[in-house]
Amino acid sequence: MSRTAAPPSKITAHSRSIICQDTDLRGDITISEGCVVHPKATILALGGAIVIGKNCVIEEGTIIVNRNKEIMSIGDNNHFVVGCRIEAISVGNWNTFQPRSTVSSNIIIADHCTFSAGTTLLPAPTLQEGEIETIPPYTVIYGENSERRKWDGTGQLTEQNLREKHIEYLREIVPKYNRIRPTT
Amino acid sequence: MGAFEPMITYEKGTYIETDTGNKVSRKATITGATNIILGGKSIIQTGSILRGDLRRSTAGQHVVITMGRYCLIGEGSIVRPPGKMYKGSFTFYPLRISDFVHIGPNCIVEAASIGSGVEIGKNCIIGKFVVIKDLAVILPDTVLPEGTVVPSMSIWSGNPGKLIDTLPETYQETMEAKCKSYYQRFRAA
Repeated sequence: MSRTAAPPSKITAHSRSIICQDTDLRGDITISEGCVVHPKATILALGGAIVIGKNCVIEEGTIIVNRNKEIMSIGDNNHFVVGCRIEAISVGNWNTFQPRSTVSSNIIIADHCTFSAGTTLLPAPTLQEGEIETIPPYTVIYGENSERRKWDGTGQLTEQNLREKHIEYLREIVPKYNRIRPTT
Repeated sequence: MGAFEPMITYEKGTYIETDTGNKVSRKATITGATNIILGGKSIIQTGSILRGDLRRSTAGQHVVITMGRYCLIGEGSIVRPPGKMYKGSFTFYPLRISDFVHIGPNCIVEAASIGSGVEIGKNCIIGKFVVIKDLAVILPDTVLPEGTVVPSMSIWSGNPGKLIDTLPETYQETMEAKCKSYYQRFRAA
């Protein structure tokens, strides 16, 4: 497969973010305050840039790709669990991408969505070519057939608390055992 | 299970063999190796990831991943300990794997404990704090949600995983023989 030469890597990381050495970051990537990028994560800005918001956790095996010309913006407090693959146009805040969930391109993800383990999210088949689908807030994608439903928001505070404590602990523990990319 | 099954070979030098007979691929990612115990005669294949760095929050020495004898971690599988809130702070919990456990390629395992003689097929996702008792079969592409308890002698499949069948009583010997034979056949070309 021939692809035009990749743009030179330009990684801007906040000094309070933790990015492991053993990661694959390519293209123009901005990582904000408090993010934790585990070893073996992959972020590829093949087209436009990728901007990642505050306090995101990106675990091993995650693949975030931007093939579009535009900037792919990812909001705050998102959790990308092991082995998920994201090609969405943009991602809001407080989303969870559970193990091996896939989000294809031409999708905009709002806030508080959950993508359960092993699901695949494609744009609705009724959409015209080139149209973009927006996934409303509190959507849950679940099960074998990747069905959709709404989360009523129960336990949201507990969940957010857990997320905060989790990242706090990761910030403490990850640098102890892994080599960290020097941040600027 | 006999002597006629084909050998499973790897290129010489791509695996490290320890004194206790563990075969660990050089291309496996093992973080926090001091927190991982391998029982011996276990195989960790290429591309797999073992997260030993995610340890408990309290001070002192903690084992994160324990593995018994004759285990197999397939290619590209990820094994990491589960974590949750306990008394207001977040901590990871150890992951115990007993003897004769086969984990197929491309699995994600965040279980709390896996009993002996368990076989997990390829592309499975084992959620946080799953407990798998002795002698169970998880068929390929199964997704076990968080906190599932898999009883002995059962076969599970689907997303979310469901019990679909039971195993014959002779399964223990079958599985042990299978694991031993796999270890014997897995050698350098």
